[in-house]
Amino acid sequence: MEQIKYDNRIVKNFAFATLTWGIVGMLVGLIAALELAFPEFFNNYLGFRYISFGRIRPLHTNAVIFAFVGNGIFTGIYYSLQRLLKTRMWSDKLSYINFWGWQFIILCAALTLPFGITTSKEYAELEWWIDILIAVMWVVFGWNLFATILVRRVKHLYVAIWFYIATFVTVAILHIFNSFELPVSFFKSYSWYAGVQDALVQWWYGHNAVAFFLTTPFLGLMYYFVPKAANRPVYSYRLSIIHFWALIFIYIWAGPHHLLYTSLPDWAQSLGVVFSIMLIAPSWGGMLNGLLTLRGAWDRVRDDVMLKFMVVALTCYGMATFEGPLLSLKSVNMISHFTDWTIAHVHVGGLGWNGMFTFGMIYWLIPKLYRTELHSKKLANQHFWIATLGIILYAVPMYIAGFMQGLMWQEFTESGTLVHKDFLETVTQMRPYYILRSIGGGLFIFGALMMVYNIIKTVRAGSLLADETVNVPALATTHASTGKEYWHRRIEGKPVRFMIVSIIVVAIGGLAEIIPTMAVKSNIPTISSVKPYTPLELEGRDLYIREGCNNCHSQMIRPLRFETARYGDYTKAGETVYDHPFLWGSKRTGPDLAREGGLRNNNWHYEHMYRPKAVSQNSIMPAYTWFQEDDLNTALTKDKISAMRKIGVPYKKGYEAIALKDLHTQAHIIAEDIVVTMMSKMPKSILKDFNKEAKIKELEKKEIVALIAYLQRLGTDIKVKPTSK
Amino acid sequence: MLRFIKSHLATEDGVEFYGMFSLMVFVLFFAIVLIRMVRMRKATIEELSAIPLSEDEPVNNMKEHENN
Repeated sequence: MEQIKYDNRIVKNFAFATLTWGIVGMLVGLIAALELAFPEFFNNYLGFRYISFGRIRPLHTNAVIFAFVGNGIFTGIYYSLQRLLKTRMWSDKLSYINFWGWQFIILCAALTLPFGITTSKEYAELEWWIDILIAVMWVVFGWNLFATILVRRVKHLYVAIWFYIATFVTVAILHIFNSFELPVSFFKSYSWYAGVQDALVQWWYGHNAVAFFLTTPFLGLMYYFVPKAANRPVYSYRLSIIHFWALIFIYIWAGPHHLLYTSLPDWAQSLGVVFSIMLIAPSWGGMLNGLLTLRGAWDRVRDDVMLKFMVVALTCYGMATFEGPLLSLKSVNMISHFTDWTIAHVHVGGLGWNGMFTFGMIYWLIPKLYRTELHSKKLANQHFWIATLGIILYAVPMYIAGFMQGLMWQEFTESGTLVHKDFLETVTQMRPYYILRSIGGGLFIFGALMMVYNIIKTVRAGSLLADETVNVPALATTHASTGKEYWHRRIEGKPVRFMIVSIIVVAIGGLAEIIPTMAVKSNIPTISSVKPYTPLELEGRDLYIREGCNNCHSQMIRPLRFETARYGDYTKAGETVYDHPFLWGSKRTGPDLAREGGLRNNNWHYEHMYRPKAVSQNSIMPAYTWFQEDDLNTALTKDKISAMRKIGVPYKKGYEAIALKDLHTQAHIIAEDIVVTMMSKMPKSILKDFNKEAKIKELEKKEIVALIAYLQRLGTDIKVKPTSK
Repeated sequence: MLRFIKSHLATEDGVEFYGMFSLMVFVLFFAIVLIRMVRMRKATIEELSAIPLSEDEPVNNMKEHENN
């Protein structure tokens, strides 16, 4: 026997961080929800740019995914890995660099996203230098993980650890490939990819962030914590092996189901659909394996609050992974896409699967780390019921809202015109559901606060067992294969080989989809009339990105009758070839803007941005007053043009020299048009003292002009000359 | 390798082949995993699935307590 010490302090640190960021991330989500439910209140009293919906929606998603769930993953892995390998973490230093580095990244996210410093790519909004920090911290985590595996005191790698390895390698691949971007300055970069290619890489990443950040690490934790809590082995170890390989193989292909009916090549969409449907098998295999582990122990579920959380978590996982393939069917996706149905779906997964699992795990861990009993089981039970009710109150209204709105968009009168031609009509009907959803989310947070209180009381009553000394069997030299072992034991006994096989398995799907889209020109037919943005439009586009307009407005008209009747000609792949990054969006809280150019006059946009309600009654859009107040910063315009040329946008050589002149000329024309229209509506008494030239001079410097230039450009390229070749 | 992919993507039949190829790779891979799993020894399975349940023998942990 050998005496070793497990590092519990690192587990405690991550657990506390999980709870802290969990509350923060959920509160930000609640604010975002309230902004949609009570837009007047926010516009009139809390219309701060730093908390406008477009800026805090990414803050919410990043905080709950990477801060709450991320820290939760580290909590569980750092605890279970040491025990499954009978080895302390290889390096305490790396553990603590991992911990503080991760918290620093979260802090950077919180200090950039509300200020509009964003790349706009969903769940990858953080700017280039934070991306580098994430990559470094992830490598630190992986290094510590592998080094610990290599010096382990057991022969076999338990199934949980395979999931941890797959998580590490795949997240690394996804993050690095999706984050290829060219920095323009410290706070600004452009995605290396454009249009369709950017969309495919983004959703290959986005979908697999769900797969390999929100799913595989939790399945690994499930395979450890559920048997541990139920005190019986996993239902079927055989199933867990099939579950593992099938899941990681299939998941990676399914990304394109986020881009159904878009201008992504059809073959890629079809592959995405087929693999999404197949995904139900390993997902349910895993869920059933978890639930059936409790066979014969269901009586314990009644008394053990941790198991209660786990059972609801697994049930939610089952529901979300049944619904996922369903949403990947083109006929269902036609209704659900761009609506709140997606929001309901992700919250069943996020609140139910990740949230409930994390709560259960921490309720189980903290008393163990502090060598005491949980302060109040009753309170934990109440938390369980409040959280469950919160999930229902969140998801059900969002399902109804999504289904309703999706169908309303499709409705035609007998004479063949849209019933709800005015998009806003379908938005105003969402309000009761937005209010109910806020109540559901509020309950969930209230439950989490009860938990924080319960944990604080527990921690105060106990004392931390920072280094847990245990006797374990002495280090055996059994890692080497004896040659006659079973094939899977040969791979699992060799973690490096195991990692390589995992990389190959996940790489097949990614490569098979991405390489052809990148390499084959015929997949993205070019359109000769599509030209790069003018410098002013480019600056306007960056304002659109800064404010996160893409969080509520899509730029992708699907080739469906009800879409083209509402918005105009469907979006072609060739139209977005200069879009670094692509801005297709994934949700329509407001209408699609792909053909916005030329639909309304400049003055409409000018007034609409300042006070949306003034021109569209009942609008729930935030008022962007600062566009009229702030001068456009053109310090980086030249660099932006150079950067765009480097990544393939055909600006003429030396265009930088005249870019600013062009920018000012275009700004002057727009400003003049706005002022002239403004004057035509003025009463004579005001008009006689009005200084037209001074007003134009003032206005042409403002941000609003750049934004209008961009909006007026949208979709106009092929309106002018529809000469596709 | 890219030339190989390109030539197949040039026609509709080529694209169809591509999808079929992807599915076949998966089916083959899945079949191998499945067959191998079925043939695994029961003793091995039991040994592996018991890993998380093994409890470590605690040593004088009361001394290691620390106020927090």
